[in-house]
Amino acid sequence: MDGAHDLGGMQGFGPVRTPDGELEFHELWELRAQVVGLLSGMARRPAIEALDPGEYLTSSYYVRWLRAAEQEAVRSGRIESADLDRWRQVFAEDPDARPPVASDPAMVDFIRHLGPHVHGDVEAAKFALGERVRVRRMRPEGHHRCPRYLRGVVGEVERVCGADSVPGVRDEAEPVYTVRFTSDDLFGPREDEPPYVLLIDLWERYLEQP
Amino acid sequence: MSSHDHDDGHSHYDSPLSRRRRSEMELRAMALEAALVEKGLVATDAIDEMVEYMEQRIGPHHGARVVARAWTDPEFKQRLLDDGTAAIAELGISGPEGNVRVVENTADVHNLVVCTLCSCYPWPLLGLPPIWYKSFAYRSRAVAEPRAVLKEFGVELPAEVEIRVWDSSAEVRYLVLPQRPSNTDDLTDDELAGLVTRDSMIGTGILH
Repeated sequence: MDGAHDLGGMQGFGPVRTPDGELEFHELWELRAQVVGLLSGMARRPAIEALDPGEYLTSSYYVRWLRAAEQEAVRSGRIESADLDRWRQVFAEDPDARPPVASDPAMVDFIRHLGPHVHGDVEAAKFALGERVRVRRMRPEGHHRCPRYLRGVVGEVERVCGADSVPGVRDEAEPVYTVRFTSDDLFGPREDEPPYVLLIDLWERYLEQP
Repeated sequence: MSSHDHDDGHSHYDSPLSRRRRSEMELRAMALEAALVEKGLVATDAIDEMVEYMEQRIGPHHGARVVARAWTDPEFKQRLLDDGTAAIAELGISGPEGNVRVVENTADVHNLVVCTLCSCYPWPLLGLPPIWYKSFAYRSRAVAEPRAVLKEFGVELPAEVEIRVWDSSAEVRYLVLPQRPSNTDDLTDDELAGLVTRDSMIGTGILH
């Protein structure tokens, strides 16, 4: 879906540098909440993108992770919202209360051996190096990784990254290309921002011949 | 941020502040962990392991080591630019978010990395991203006005330098190989690594 998370090219968010901008997180619960969401599978990208746009834009990074995990856990039927309310009450009333403890040695071992994402070999690439490609105009329903600011813009294939499973689509893999765009084609010529180049990796289905 | 003790599995809820009065979000984070553990959907030791990994075992010192090696070993540098993931594995660096392409800054080219859709970042090389990298301002503006953003970081480049912005929104993670500062010929790899800043490997900093 084209949600509030798709921020590329938007205006009005102010300067990048802020007094606490160098920190990785503010409070100790934040990183732990992200990890709980990651490991339980409750806070994947689609769940974060499914947050109400108003909530997305007014929540901090880690609150988005927490809210997405809560909503996905309840939506998927894994837990009841009454479970969350009950535990919240326990921790609000008793400063010494802690979450229950469970052990999963196999999972600990799995985490210790986590490796990088690996691309598959490309068997048949539709587009060749140097070929001009246009980003399709679309209104995708599910999870995808094709930012709005690229739609309809023509670029050039800079590299074939490899084959990768398509975001939001089960069990389908296809070539991913690094595509090179010019700033003039993306945002038009501007006096205050001299021309530059933008590169991004895009799945084959996001592209067409111009 | 990591000065607190890791003496038991629950130290992440034990800040002095939270002992006095837990914030609403902290209460909800604890409730989420409790409910998911209760249902067997996540385990405490797995959470502890991942938190420790993200907080302690990854960080920009790994990226700095890679950069210093590339400056002093031309063959390694070539392997790094050809296949970043394989080259960093030579130095024992690997892990999730570690499918890496390294892009080189030169006198003519300056690279800048962003993720507009979330905050993709090469964890094994740089650790967790700073708050500004995850901010709406950086995510929205880096692709549309990179020179204005760089200026806020104190980086002003000659007009003839080509800026390349990398929107790392798929599964490749980008690391910038910054230019080696002048007058560093007699430094060791360790000393060189000490000069490499996190921002120089994102592209929001340059080294002097």
